[in-house]
Amino acid sequence: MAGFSHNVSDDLFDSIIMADDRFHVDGYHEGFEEGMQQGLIEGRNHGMLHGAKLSAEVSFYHGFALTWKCLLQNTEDVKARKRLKAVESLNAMIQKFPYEDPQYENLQEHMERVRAKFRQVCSLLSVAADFREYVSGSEGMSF
Amino acid sequence: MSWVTAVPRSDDVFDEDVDELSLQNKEWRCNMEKRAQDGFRDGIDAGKEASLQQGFNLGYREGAVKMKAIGQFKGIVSALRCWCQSQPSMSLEPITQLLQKVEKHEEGIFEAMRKAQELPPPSVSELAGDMDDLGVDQSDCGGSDCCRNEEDSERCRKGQSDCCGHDKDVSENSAGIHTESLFVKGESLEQLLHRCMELVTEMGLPEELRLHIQQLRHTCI
Repeated sequence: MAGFSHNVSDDLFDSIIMADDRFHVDGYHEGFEEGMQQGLIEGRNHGMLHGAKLSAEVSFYHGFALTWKCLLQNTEDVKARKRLKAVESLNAMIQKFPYEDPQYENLQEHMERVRAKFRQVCSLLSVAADFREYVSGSEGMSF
Repeated sequence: MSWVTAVPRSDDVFDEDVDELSLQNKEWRCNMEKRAQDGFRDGIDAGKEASLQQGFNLGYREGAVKMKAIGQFKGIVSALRCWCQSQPSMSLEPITQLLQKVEKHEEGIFEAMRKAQELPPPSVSELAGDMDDLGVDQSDCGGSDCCRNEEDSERCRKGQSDCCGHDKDVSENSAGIHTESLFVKGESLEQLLHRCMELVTEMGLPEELRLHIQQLRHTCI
């Protein structure tokens, strides 16, 4: 009997002390859920713009390379052959590039190689690579 | 004699036990509410940190897929324009016009995305309405920070339903952005692709190029 009343008062004492923690923990769980949603939305909006910028740039190079490949394919002279080779190599480089995967470890490095190749192609084609928006837009790519 | 009337007539004035109890009760509730609010704030920070990268990856893929067709298309038209420049017999006018329209279309898609990003995320204070769910009775709490006016709580509810839904809402949000991009002012991507195919034919360019453009049509529609 004495043991029983001891337990009851003990529980009561504990519950008063624990209430402090319990409310904090309850609030934390509510907040965590809310924060998860917020983080998901904020991260998504942020990521979308990054993915869109990079994809727009790579896809631009891809369309550019594909078109020149078609235009140069049936020409015979040496200069055109050299151009075609460069265009084909840019095309191959892009096809091997998983730029849609944000977790691709060599994303930045691969991107730089594609850009360099594109500049080389432009100079071989005697085309001004003044697609300025990409050059300036490529700076803020890190998250 | 005014000091006499100022004294409360209730007998309870001397009932110290009752007063003390309700005072302690109030204090207890205030303290516990504060604990819950602190926990809520800590939880928000931790939850955000836990999901930001996941959200970023999700959005990155979506954004990348979204720009694929228009990006390629712009590359094709740009290359065609470069080629026209090297051909003295070719008129630059039509292809330049098309390129401008394509650029405008692309910019419109970006603009819609930026707008979605600028929507302010709900702040912690706006989410205070959630405290109601925590089982803390706020009605007895006398502190000024516990009292919100109607307008505030109205804003709370709106903010919550607008910005912090569940996974379902996230995809609905994405559908919203997508629809927006389809209605960018000017011609549709479909029309622009069609115009490009016409130009390719007019210029007498290889059939293979037409096929590439046709493929884009299937990717984006």
